[in-house]
Amino acid sequence: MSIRTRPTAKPELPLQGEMNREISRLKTSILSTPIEVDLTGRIMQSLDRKAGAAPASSPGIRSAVNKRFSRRRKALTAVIAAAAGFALLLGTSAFSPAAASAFAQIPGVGGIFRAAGDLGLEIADRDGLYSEIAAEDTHRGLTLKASAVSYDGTRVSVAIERSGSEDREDLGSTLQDVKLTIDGRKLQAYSSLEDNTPGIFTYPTSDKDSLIVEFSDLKNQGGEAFPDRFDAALRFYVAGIDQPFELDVPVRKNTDANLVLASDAIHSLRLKTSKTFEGVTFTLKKIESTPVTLNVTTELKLPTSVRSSRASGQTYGYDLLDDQGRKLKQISGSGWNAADGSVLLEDDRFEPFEERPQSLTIKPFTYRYRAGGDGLFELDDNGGIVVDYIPRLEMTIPLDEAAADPGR
Amino acid sequence: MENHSNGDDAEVEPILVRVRQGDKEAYARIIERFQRPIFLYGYYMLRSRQEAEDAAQETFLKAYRSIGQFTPTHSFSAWLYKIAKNVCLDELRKRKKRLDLFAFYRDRQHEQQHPSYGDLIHDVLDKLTEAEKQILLLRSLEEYSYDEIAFILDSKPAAIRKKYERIRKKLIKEKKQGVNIYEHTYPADRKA
Repeated sequence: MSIRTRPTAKPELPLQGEMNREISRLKTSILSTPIEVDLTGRIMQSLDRKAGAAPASSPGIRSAVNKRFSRRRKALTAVIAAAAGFALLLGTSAFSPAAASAFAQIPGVGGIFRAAGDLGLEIADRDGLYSEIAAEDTHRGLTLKASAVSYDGTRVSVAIERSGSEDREDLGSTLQDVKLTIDGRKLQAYSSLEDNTPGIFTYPTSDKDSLIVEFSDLKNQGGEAFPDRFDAALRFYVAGIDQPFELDVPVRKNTDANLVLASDAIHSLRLKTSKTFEGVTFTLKKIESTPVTLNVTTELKLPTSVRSSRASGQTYGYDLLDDQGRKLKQISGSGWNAADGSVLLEDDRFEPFEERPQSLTIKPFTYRYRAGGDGLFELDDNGGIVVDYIPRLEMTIPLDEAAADPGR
Repeated sequence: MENHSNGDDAEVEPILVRVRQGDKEAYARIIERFQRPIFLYGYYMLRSRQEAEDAAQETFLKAYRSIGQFTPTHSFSAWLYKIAKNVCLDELRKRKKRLDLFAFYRDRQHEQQHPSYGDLIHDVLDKLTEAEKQILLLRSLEEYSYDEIAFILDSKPAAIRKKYERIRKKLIKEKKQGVNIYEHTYPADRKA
C-alpha cells in the first residue's frame, strides 16, 4: 500500500499525538507478548475424541455443511404430481388444513418461521404446514419455549423462543450445546455408521430472542429414516446455567405428499444419472421435492488411486439450475466420506421451487485455486470464487417429460 | 478504516469450504492461523495462561461445531472473537460464582514472585473497565473497525468509538500519574 501525504490535514495536536503513541506502544507490547502458543495438536486431538464435534457428521450445534441464502418469495404450493416410474412417498400425516389455517392466524405461533429468512419456512407458516406446540422450561428466570414445529420429511424445524432474559446477546450465542433424542433413542442410533451422525443446526432469526433448531435424518446416507410421527426430546445447554432446558416436542409430518425421484426410477426412464469424466464419477441419487424443501442426494466417486477429494487437490461442488437457468439457493446440507474417503455421499437442501420447472440441471464444478500452492481460491474481479464447470458431468432431469409419461 | 474482513475471508474461505466438506484436518490451518491472537485475547481477559489456553481450545471447538452458523456479514475472525468473548465472559462468570479465592490468591502470589511481561500489561488493563479492555484488545490484536468490534461485543459502532476515545484519555492520564510499565524492555530471546 502506498503512503500518501495529506497536505491539507490539520496538524496533530500534541495531546492526540501523545495518546496515539501510548496506544501504539501498548498494542505493540500486547502483540509481542513472549508466549509461545501451539494448541493445534491438543485441539485436533480433542476434536478426534469428541465424535460430537464433527461438523459434517455429528450432533454438534449446527454441525453440517450449512449455507444460508436469500430466498425467493413464492414457491410451489401445490404438491408436484407423481410421475409413474418415480417413487412417490405419500405422507401419512394427520395434518388438517383447517386446523393449521386457524393456527396460522394466531399471532406469534408461526411468526418465528416468518422471521427466519427461509423461504421454505415462510411457506410452511403461510400454508399452515406446521404444528403448534407449547413445550417450555424455566431455570433461573430464563424460559425457553418451543412454539411450532414443521416436518416435511426432509427436515424438522423447531421454533424456539426465549423470555425472561435481559441478555443482549442473541439466543444462539448463549447456547453451549443442543442434544436430541428421538422416541427415546439417541440421534446416533439413526445412523448406520458410528461416525456419521445427523447434525443439529441452529439458525438465527431477525429476533435475538428466537431461533430455529433444525435436523434431518440420514436415510439417503445409509441411515434410518425418521418416522412420520415421533417425540423429539431437545436439551438446551445455556451459558451460565447448569441445568439443561428440557423441551419435549411432538413431531408429525406436515406435508401430504413429497415427490421423490429415486435413482433407479430415473434410470427406468432411460435418463442418465451417472456420468464419468477423467475417472471421476458423479451420480444423482435422488431428488425429493416438498413444498418446504428441495433435497438433492448426490454421490461423487473419485478414482481409486485418489483417496479423497482433498488429497486429489480438488474440491468439488455443483450448481443446481431450473429450466430458466436460474440457480437454486442452497439452505443446508450434509456430506459423508465413505469408502476411505474416495466416495462423497451428500445431501444438499435447496429452497423449494417457485413453480415447478420443466427440468433441473446439475452442473458439477471444481473450485479453482490460486497459483503458488498456497491453498487459496482464485477470486474474480467481484470477489467471487472462480470455479471450473465440468460439462461432461453435467446432467439435466426433465421433470415434465417424466410426469407426462404415466405409463412408465 | 480499511475493511478488515475482505482479506481475512479470502484467506479463510477456501479452508472453510474444505472443513464443511468433512475435511477435519483442514481445520488445523484455521487453528494455526488464529490461535495466537485468540489465546492472547483470552490471556489478557482472564489473566491466566492456563485458563487462556482452555478458553482458546473451547473457542476453536465451539467454532468447529457451529462452523455452518458463520455467515459472511462480518469477517470470520470477528465471528471467532465473538465466540471467544462469550467463552471468556462465561469463564469470568463461573469464576465469580465458584469464588475460588484460593486459586486466585495462589495465582496472584505466583505472579508477585515471578512478575512476567504479561503482568505489566495486565496492570495497565486493570485500569480499564471490562468493556474498555475488550475494545483495546480487539483494536490491538486485529486492528478491527468500530463496526466489527460492535458486532463482536453486541454494541453500536458509535458507542465503541466513544469508549475508545475514553480509553486513550485514560491511558495518557495513567502515564502522567507515573504508570509507564509497558515500555519495559526485555532481552530479545524472551520475545515471541
